Amino acid sequence: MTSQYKTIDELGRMLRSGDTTPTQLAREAIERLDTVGRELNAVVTITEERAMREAENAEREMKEGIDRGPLHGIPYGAKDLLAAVGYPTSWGAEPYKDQVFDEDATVVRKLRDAGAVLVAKLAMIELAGGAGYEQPNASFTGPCKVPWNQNAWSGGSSSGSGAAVASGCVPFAIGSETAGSIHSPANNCGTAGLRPTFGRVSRSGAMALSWTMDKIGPLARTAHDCGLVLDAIAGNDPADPSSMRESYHYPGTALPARPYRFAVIPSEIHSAQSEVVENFQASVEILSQYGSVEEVELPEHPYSEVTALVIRAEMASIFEDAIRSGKLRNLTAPEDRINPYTALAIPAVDYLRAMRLRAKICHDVDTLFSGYDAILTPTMPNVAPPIDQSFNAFDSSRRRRTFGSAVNITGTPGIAVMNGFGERGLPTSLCISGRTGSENTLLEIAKLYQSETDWHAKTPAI
Amino acid sequence: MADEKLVDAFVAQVRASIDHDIEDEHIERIRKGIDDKLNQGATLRKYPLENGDEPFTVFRAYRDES
Repeated sequence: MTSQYKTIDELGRMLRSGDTTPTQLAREAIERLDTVGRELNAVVTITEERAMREAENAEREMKEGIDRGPLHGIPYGAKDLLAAVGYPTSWGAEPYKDQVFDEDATVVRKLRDAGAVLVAKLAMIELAGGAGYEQPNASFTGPCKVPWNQNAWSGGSSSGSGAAVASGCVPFAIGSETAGSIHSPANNCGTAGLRPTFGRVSRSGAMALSWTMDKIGPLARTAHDCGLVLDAIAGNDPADPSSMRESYHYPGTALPARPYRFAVIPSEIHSAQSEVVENFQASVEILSQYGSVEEVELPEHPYSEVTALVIRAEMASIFEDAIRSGKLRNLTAPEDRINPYTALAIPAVDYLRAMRLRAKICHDVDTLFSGYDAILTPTMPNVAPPIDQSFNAFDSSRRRRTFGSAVNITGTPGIAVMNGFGERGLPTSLCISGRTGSENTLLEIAKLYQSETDWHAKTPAI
Repeated sequence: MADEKLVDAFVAQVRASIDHDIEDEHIERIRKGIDDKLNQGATLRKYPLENGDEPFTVFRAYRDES
């Protein structure tokens, strides 16, 4: 029985019934990553030696009756900004492609402790997009392709994480999001992608792009699988001062049996491609069986400007030495070699003004979100762009993402799930967002949606 | 469009603060990038703030309790 396109739950049942073994799953994942994954430019490094060692450990433990839980023996890939002992951590960037760290990132360690098997470091946009890339070809491993249509870009910056899950190479992968980097590949590739609350998952051992905005989260086939992974990687970490003190568990306590309260934002819908709008409206129709739907608008704030200034200023500080020394002149995308210079010129007062406005934004967005269990929007206004065009040439009119900026600047959670197909046979996606700390509510709603549809079970012909 | 003299000043600041030369062909992109960021800052200044509006990151005095 093949393991491709199986969920974590399905693989767990196969493992426990003896239909497969951790070493067999690891070998199958590695073989597919080495063929399909490389064809898609989704892979940086296959961590074969470590994978087989971890898989053999899992196999031995399972034979001894030790069960580490739902991820025990399950292969996964990590975005190549997460340190893993024994392998380079490239940050997707030519100038850093040989750097190594002598300690696992906290997320990688937690997954190891949960019995998961690291099979690959996955491709990403160089420096997680922090240099301001304007095209798919912005990684030293080349532009990452969508399994559904290889002439389209997989999204970024967690490019390989989306493509590897969507192509059945791994049942889940870890990505990171500063301002859209989990939801973009989830949208473009048709996977589930969970952006946790800021601080829910430790960033220790992950490349820093923006201290106040970086989040780490899973991409998987289903919302339930995202919950299982989040349960393993969440939690306080003294090594990350911003990590939340409160614990997290999935599944959480049973939710009260009452109708949900949903909100939609008309301005986020009307700017989207027509198929995106149609699929979104069909999704809302399905969820409306479970509760009320109201129209709301975001409070008036300069979300995009605040987001841009915060990320660029923090990035300029983090990479200041590399910018000043000229190290970033070897990045892949020509614009990435130049854009970082401009961030050196952001006045401190502008950064501080952005952070002062951010406090107001957080208050006002929480006030709005507190009236609803979830805010429903299209994850992106368009399907994946062509692999060989600049983003501006594809659809510059849809690039301003007010809601995407609002949820990232506020650090609030959201889950993306596939909800149909749009132009060129490419996936579209529904985004379910909520208040700080509301991951379990969002996961329950996403699970309800996936129980009523089968988009998550569809597989590309690759 | 930000004030050209201000943009020029920031371009000069960038050129003076790095350890290498920037090719002339790239200066226009840098000018554009700086102009964009100054405009973003100008947009923020349209939103009023009170004296007591602190940045979202809150400083806490440190004491090691370990």
